Amino acid sequence: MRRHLLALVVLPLLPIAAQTPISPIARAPRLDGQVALTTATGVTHLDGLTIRDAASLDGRARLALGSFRFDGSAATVAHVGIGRATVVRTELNYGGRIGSWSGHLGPLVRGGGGLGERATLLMGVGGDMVRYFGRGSIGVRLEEGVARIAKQHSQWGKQGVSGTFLLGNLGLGFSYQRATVRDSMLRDNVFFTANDPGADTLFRRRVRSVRDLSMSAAWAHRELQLTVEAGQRAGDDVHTQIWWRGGATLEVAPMIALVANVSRTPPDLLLGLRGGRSTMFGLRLNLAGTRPVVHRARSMAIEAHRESTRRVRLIVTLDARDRAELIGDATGWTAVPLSRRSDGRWEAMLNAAPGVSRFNVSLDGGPWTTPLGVPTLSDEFGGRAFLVDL
Amino acid sequence: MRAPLLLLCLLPAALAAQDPRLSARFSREAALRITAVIDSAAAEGLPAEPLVLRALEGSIKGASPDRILLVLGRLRTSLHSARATLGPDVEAADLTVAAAALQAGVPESRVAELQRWRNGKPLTAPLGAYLDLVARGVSGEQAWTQISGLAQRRAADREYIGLVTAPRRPEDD
Repeated sequence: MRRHLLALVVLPLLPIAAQTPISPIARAPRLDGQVALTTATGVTHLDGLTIRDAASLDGRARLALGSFRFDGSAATVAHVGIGRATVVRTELNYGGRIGSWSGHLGPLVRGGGGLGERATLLMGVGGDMVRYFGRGSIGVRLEEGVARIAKQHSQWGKQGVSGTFLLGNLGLGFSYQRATVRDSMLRDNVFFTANDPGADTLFRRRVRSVRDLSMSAAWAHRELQLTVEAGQRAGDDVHTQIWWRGGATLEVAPMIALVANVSRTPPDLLLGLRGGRSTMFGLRLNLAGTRPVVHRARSMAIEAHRESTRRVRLIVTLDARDRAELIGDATGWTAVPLSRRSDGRWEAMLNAAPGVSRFNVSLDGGPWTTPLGVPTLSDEFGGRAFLVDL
Repeated sequence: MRAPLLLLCLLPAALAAQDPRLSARFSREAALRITAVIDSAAAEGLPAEPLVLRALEGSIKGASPDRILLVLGRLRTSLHSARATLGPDVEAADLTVAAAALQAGVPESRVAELQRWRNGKPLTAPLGAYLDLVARGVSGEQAWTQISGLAQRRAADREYIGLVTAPRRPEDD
């Protein structure tokens, strides 16, 4: 059974991995992350097969320690009367953020099998680079590796460009991705090679690729999160087709969420998985870590960590090159230099009582301004100030 | 002849009463004028700190003393209205954020309503969230609908913070 169907069960979690690069904190490395288990039931209609009742169990972990980040998931779906399919994905990345740039690089292993299909194993290296700008971001991701697909060795690669834009509680995204498999097959004239002096092998090289162009949207309001994505698949040896998926997650308790997903997914070229339609309802348990928040992290230009009744650590994402300064109610409107963190952001320790405070920043000795993507109010002096609830 | 002498005698006393932060930032004349506004607000029982901070903000942003006095006058009026709305025993932090909300266009009746719903709890979280939503471009009416909805069901402070996506604190997750 199919990775796409399995992945849908944890669709609400996926944006977290994609949208929330965990910034390394080299000064005080600590284990951070999220572990979730999802179980769901519903109906599936795989391409070429009949409609079946199905049940799934899916686990996902995202852990970070210093500059290292681990993403792993394992999922299995049982289709009544057909069989069971399992998919495992793991990635280990090293990287972090420098200013408004984020980058990660590391090995990855993916595998799948079941439902009469031969097991597939992919190994490779993947890396991404993301540029953040105000309310949005744009990034590229490259993966390259070797695979054992249906007992045949081959090479594979993925290239992708994606972007997001935050509009209040609504996150919009686009993605273009190309997946390529390079393997070999028997030559068409295999029975005539004896007469072909140029043919030193019975096989010829074959390159197949598929391209997906998609748009996505995610909306979060309090405990409810909705995601939709639609795309078009085109490529070699495939019919051009439209695919889509939608999901809803309702956090009913700190550790428990109800999930619902409906989709029409295309086949997976690399893992050799069949496409199909599915409708699943289930329960997700957040076993450890923070509650996922769709698209919220990318708007995170400011963090206020209250360390005591008087002390607050303010962390700001800024585009400053060499130096940055902060002024505000909490500094008595006296310039306080911000210190650069190892993850590229800037921070200051302030003595401030709880409450709403107004601030401005100066970048590289420039005028007093506000960070991009941060809500601002008129300061009545011809400029604007931003608010932080300390 | 007597007036300048009187002024000369009173000047050291006035300077002694001045907030040192003001005398460090403004000329003697400007500091006196600003201090006069702040002192008169304090005589009405209004907190001086928000006014001092606003004056310091204007100073570091290069605003003229006249502009600063104008802004202080508006803030003083808002603080006065906020105290009249919330009562004489209101905390300074609540008074300050309520004044900001009034300046942002929230009617006094709604601030009073919010205070009643909060039942003695600080107003900084709901009014801070309101200001944040308005700053994000949400209309005042829509922002009030969200804030009042939470207040009527006695929501905790973290739920107001959850209304806005930034600033974001880890414990919000």
